[in-house]
Amino acid sequence: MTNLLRVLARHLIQGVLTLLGITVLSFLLGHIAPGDPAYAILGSDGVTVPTEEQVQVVRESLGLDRSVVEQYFLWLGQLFRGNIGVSFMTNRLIEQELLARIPVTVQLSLLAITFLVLTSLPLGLFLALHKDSLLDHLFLGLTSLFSAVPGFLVALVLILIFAEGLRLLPTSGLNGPTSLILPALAISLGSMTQITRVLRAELLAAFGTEYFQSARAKGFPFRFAAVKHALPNAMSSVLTLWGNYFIAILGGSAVAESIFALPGLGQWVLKSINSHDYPAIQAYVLVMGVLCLMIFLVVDLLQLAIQPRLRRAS
Amino acid sequence: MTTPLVAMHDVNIRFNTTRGWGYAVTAVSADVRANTVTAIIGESGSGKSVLGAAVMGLLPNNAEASGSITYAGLELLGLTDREWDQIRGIELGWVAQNPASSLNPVYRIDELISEAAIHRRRIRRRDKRRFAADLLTKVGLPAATGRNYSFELSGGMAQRALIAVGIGLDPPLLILDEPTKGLDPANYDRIRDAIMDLAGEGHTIMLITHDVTLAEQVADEIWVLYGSRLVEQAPKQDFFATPLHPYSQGLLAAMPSRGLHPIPGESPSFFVPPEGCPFVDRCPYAVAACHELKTPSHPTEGRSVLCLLH
Amino acid sequence: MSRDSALRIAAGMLIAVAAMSLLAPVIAPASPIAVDMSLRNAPPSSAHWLGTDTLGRDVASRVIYGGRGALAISFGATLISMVIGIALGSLAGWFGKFTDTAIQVFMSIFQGLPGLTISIAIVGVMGASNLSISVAMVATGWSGISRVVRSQIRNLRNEQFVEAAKVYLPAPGYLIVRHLLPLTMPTLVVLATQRMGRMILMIASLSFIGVGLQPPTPDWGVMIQDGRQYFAQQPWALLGPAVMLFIASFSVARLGELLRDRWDTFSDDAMAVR
Repeated sequence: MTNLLRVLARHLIQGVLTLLGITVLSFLLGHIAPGDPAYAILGSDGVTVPTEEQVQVVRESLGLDRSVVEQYFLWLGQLFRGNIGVSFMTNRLIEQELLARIPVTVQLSLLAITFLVLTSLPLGLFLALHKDSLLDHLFLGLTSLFSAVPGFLVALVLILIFAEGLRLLPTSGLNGPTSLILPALAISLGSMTQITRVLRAELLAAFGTEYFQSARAKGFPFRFAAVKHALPNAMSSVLTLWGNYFIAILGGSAVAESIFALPGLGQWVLKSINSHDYPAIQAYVLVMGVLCLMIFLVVDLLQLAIQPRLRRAS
Repeated sequence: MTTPLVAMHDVNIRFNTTRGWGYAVTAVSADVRANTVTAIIGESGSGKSVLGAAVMGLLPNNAEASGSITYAGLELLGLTDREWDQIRGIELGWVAQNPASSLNPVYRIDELISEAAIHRRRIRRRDKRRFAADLLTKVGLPAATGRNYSFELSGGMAQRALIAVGIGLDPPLLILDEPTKGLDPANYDRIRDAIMDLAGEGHTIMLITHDVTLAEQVADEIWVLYGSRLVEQAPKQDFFATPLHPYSQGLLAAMPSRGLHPIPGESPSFFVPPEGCPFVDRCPYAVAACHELKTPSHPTEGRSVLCLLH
Repeated sequence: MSRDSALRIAAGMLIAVAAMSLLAPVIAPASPIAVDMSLRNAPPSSAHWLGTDTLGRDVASRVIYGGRGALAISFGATLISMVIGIALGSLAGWFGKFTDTAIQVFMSIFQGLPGLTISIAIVGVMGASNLSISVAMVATGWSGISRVVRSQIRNLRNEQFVEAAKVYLPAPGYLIVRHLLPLTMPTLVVLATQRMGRMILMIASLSFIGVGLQPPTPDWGVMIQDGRQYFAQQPWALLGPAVMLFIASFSVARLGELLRDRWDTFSDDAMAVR
């Protein structure tokens, strides 16, 4: 138990450090952005031609006259109070925008990773059990092809087949859960082949181990031994991959949201870029960083659950 | 005279490798009598472990076996996967080499010991710990070891745990592959005692080992494998009193108690198909006809030796 | 198909794409940006092999030119990422302790965010330009390389031959460059090809969603976006750039895969996908 706590504490410290790093990155993004935020804020208040004095007052209130390091800590302090900022574009609080849009992106990404897990797991197991079958060779051939197809092309092909050809699924906008199916497929299909290949390879390696032979020596059928003895050992690297691809999926959600016109974070940040709404971009990076850290934490916890060696090692 | 439990007749096993065919077992014919300990001795690469794996039906995919191995009259070579699954564990027990890597690191020892009984004998899950504790006690480990994982055990403990795993379904025949490899003297003695206890309970044991001293201590019957061939087979007393094959003589002379005299020369290549006696290149008595020697002779009842001298 | 011939095919495809991009002004039958409103949405003909787009621009010429930006940026950004990744990875791996921790934390910031998110943010803030896209690609590329280099250097650091070389000249720079990095070369080459393949796709994705190379620049990602609306009438305007994009990223990535198999270096799948 103490081991478990120690491992968790280490992850927590790493997580906090990474989070701080991401706030620095996000702050610097705002800092290198062109234009003076004071003008932007005055502009959004309806002051189109501000006087020097007006600008000076706003600059001081924003802390823009201080050093970069001071500005960072001021900004960080604001963040801790839950004050991410005001969107230049809509004049709405960014928190409100985020709260409206995070669920869309999170749902989309969760659906995509669920799809990824539910396909790669059985498929990898099936291919490992039927090594060198026709399907196996076909799949391995397809893997390298798929890795060179970007998500947006997959999306276009899916739209062509399922939405315009078969007229089965909606292609744009958010109207009920079916709207998320095609975008989720688009951002997970390419990684599906990669993960399946890794799971297959890990399983084949596990089939060659001595503990697997020992399981067979107990009279367990191959399939049973494969699921009970090989699979848990093959899972650890696949779990890491799932985590990494989950993060790639979060990034890819911006592309899917743009193609399928989903009102998520990605679509919002792309709009914000068009209107030079820099606080929105900063907020986007922060939210993504937090989401990714949560994914890392879940992956680490799952690793502890499936790998007694990590849990028990002192 | 007891009946043979395992009978081998002209067993040949070769491997299809990227470097061509490799010959692991050549023309082995011998019997394992029930309720005895048969020590199969030889150096690494002699084919002894492969022979054990063949009896378990656990040869790798690139292996090709011919001849006949019967267990209680049942022909083993050519069994289907399903038929193998019926007899493995229940009739044939296996204790693999390298206990550290033969115990799955994701399960506790008690699960590994009892899982065969749970899935195949339908003992109840809640009896798992008691079941494992009984077997652990039998091999001289504290019952609490069951709650550990393999990587938490020392080499000697892991070896004994692996034996507990192998006897989980109480199989009549046990194949132990190098059970004393790399152990310190104290653990060595415990394993030896455990083997003798198992033999005393009436298990038939095939003990695969490179350790001639262990064979002398526990075995009833000695098989000597060299260069994929069975060069000598004899009751223990006869073997240690008068080893007949020149290789056997060399093996005994190399024992620490007998002066540690090494055998000059090198072992034959795995990739050269053995014709005749495999020891011919290192044998002080070799003659041309040794290259042609196909069949062993039987100088006395219950003994066979692959040598023209006898 | 033997591995060698597969390797030759992948290399050949890559050379062909590179040559096409380099020689675009010579090969292309027309200007990629010349608008001809009298010849809009024309079907393929001898004058316009892939027809024209909605502004009457020659699609074939745009396809030929369309890889230049992405290939040049991804190539340059890969080189810079390698330099940064190798430098920081070597420092972290060799010195350990505080240097290692500091670099690790710095790395984790970039590893903790999706590559596309970092790219969108950087290009979004700096404005779309070749420079900003290059910066974005380097920002997403270096950390994965650095991570691999770090672990390789750590593994090699205590080898006997390093101890021997230390006697000769105990300068870390000399030891790393002269004795350790050459051993990691196969891994580095494979990493570089995989990284470049991903960058090509990422640049196309950025262009496609409108934050990368901007119209009227002939770019495959931009062209695919443009071709979407008129796909039913003129599929070639979308299929041309899509096929080229596929060939370019496939040949680079496949080359890396084949080299990895040949040299039997470890798979970096687990670490470099972000």
